[in-house]
Amino acid sequence: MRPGLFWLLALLSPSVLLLVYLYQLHQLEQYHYYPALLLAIGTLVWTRWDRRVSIPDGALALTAMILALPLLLAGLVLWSPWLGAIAAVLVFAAFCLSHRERNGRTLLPIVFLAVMLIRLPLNLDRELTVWLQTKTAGLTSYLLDFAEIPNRLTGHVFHLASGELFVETACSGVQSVFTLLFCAVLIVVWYRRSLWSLPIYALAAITWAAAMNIVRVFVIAYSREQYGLDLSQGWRHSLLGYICLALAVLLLLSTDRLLRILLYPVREESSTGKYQNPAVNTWNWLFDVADSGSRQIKESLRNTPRTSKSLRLAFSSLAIIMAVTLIPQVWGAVQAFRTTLAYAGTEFWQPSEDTVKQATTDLVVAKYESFANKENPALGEHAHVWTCSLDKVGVTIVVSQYPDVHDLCECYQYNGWVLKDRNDRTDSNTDWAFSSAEFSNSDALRGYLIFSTLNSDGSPRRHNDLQTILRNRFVDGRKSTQTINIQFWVASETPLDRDIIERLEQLHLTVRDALREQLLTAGKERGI
Amino acid sequence: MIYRKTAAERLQSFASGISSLLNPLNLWKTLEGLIEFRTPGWALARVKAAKPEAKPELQHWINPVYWLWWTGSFALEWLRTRPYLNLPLAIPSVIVLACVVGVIGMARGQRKASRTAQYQRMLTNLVDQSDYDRAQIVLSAMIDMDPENVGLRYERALMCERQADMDRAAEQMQRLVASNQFAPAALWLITNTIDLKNAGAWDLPTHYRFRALTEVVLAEGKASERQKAEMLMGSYLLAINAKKDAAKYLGDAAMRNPELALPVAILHNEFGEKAQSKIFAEIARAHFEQKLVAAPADVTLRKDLGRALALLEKEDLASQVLIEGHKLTQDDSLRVLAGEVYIYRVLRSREESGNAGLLSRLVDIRSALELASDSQTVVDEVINVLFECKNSSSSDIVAMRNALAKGLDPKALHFVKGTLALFDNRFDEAKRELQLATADGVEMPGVLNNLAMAMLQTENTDLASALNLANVANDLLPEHPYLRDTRGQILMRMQRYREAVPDLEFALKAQEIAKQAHAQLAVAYRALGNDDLAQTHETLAK
Repeated sequence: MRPGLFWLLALLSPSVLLLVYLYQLHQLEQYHYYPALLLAIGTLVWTRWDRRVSIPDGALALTAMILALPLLLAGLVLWSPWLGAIAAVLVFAAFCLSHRERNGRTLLPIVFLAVMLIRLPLNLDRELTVWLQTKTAGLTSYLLDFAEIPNRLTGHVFHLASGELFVETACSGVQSVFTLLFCAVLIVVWYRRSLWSLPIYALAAITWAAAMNIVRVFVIAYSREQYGLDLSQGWRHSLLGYICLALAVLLLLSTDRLLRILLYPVREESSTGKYQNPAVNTWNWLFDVADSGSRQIKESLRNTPRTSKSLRLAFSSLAIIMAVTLIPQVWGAVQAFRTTLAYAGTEFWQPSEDTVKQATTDLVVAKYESFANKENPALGEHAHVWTCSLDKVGVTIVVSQYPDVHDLCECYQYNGWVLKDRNDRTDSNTDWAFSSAEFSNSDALRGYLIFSTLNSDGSPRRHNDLQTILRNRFVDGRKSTQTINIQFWVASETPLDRDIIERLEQLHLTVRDALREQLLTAGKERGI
Repeated sequence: MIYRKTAAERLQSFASGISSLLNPLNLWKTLEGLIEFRTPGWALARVKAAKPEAKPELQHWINPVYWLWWTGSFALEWLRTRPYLNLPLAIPSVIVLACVVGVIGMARGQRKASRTAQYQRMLTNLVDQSDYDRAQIVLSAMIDMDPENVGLRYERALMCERQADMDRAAEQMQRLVASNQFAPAALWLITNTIDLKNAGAWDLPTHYRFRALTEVVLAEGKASERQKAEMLMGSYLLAINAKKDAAKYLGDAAMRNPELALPVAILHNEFGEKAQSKIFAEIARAHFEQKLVAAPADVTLRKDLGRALALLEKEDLASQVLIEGHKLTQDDSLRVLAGEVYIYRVLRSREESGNAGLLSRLVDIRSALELASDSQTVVDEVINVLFECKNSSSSDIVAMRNALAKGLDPKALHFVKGTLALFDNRFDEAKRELQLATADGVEMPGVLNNLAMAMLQTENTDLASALNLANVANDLLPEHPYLRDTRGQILMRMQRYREAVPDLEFALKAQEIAKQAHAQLAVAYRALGNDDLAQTHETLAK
């Protein structure tokens, strides 16, 4: 098999899963930079590659190719676009390791850009943004105090005289951090900075993302309090966001200049005289790209690939096996596409206003409200709220939709509630989990939360333990990632009796079953 | 012909002018030079040069002197070989980084005390500016820092009160009481959410709530708060007509708190416990006299001292204290009270000596009239005394009576004459005199009531006008049994029985007119078809 055909088959083999993965990535706001990333990868390969095609060269390239196959097969069996995307990156890495620039360097640095496509496992991406959000909110509060703007920060929510200000949606994060990380990697790759300096660039990107988030929130709060100008919504908010992002990119470029100066090679001439200085040598080896490049040229000339016929045969077989997986991939994608079509229009699910009344007579409904498209940012994308009472206890029932899995306990913690106790249980009849949690806050109020999560196809969701997180990350490819949270919330001055909590839990199970029934009926009507 | 440039041409020449001005600055080249990374000369030469030195050998690697030498020379060389010329573009990141690090450092290093002081300063400024919304936020932030600080939470609740958000204030005060047994909050709740005047009409939970809150203040409060709670408890007991309990409760409290001695003395006096009354009046007198030295122009203090002296049967001295106060402050209420003090002696005389003391009562009432002819109490008592001596033939008394009548102002005189005529069943005369007393829109409930009563008794009278007068009198002095009785009688005459019943039932509270009210109620209930009740009232009327 010709090397060109081999690479064509190898690179195309995970393409369907990759496309599905990109579609899923598109649903997440913080990864919206991926078109620019793909464009940058394409441009870099096109402009740098010497156009000489060769089969996998070197141990690293071979390892990457060999690892890609089981990952691709696992992705196919489990229908996990995430695994497919990792396989695609590995194949691309093998390609880059095997091919050269015109000056003899490998295309390896471009792989780091491709890695930016892969979501961090175990929700680490979300945890990073939330951690940053917490830190930046605290510092912004300090700055507002410094500017004598009265403010109170509870979790991620600022209480100002003019109203509440959410640091982004209370449950999202610092959106620009991943965009800036992408910019940092692009600078390193594009300007051929030393790959050893990549962690420093990443750290700088995170720092500037945090700094600009502080600036953004501060400006919004300050302008609202001092001038009555609301920059937290509409085009003004978008403009401010883009200005901050642009400033962060400029700061990143400035940091690049600073790092170039700091990491510049050290002159060897005046060391000990007779013998080389190992400290200087190590420094230059790490950070002198010109030096390592010339070394790589020499190495590449020394190691011209001489592959045997049997190895060529093995690679050809590998490429064919990988290419064969395209057929089930396409079939799976069609299935996924049909599901997506069936779900079209369900982004805003409208349960019946009478759901609670019909499900139970114990709860007296006083009010029903519906919020679409983040009208109430504390309640997710779309939400339906019933204000009820059980005897003399005020109960708020909220059904809220999120584009991804959402742990409501965390959301309440971000809103200033302190988690006192949490109890995760599963209804043995339906294998549907529900959580019961108790909170307190600085106003000496007690909060009681009972919640369950549904997938948008009506299938119940289990607890967010490690196993479930991994399973969801690997397996849920064909399903919509949208989730629906059903919560009962009580804020009380005095502790609730155990009897009341148990009754609330029972009522929660009743109401959630009724809601699920409605969702399933709606799904059947749509042919899901 | 003068050539004039078009607008486009003018703009073009302006742009070229600006451009020619900027040309010498060589902006583009300056910018290019700024962005360009200048490689130092040694680095350019280095690429061509071969590495001159040999690699270190084992003896060098194991020699610590070499380690130091390598590290030192590396550090020195590193500092010497930085391409510093390229620094300008890096400066923004250095500055912003320094700012970020500075903010983090200051935020982390800021002590709780200094932050609290900053908040306190902001709070004071905002309260001075009456910006309670912002002050409320600052207080909440302070509470977040120090959640156990009950004082701050109390402050925040008071801030709600300043914002006129009484519901929220009450809710927060309630929470402070429930979770911290905080006495000031309990006291606030008693004074702001409980209507003590209507304690008689409270439901059971309100009674329980009042008592629970008072208990909190008495158990947890400071001395001043406890004193207030004791007074409130006394007022409560009085309001629910538990006067004996009130006297006992306040009596105990008054031994610790002389402020309470006067109400206790008044209560004992009401019960006819003169000796007890005098003990507490004496405590009150000593307390108020001491305070009066420091504040001689304090009107309330003088009034209280006057009352205490009156209870000690030292009416002349009481009057003197009040008149001195009036001279000092020109406060008319002191003058009026100085006159009314004599009425107290009149009442006491009537109670103790009956008809025997009529002459002395006339003397006292004259003194009262001289000081407070505008006091309804005094005028009422003048009528009583005149009525008392109506049948007396003693020349002294007649002379005194005439002198007394002359001492009244014309309107009061008409009122007295009208009222006396009413008592003598001379209704037409009574009506005439009382109409003169109400001329110029005088609205005194007693006058209006008596006029309405006179009108009721005359023939072919306008009952609607009489009812109107009775209504005004009742509006001016609500829940007075005599006034309600008058209105009830008018309504009975108008055959509006259903409306008359509540008034007549209220009138039953006054023993003197209870029989008459029962008789009227019997008629009303019979007319309304309720024979059982009518029968009951008939029996009671007998």
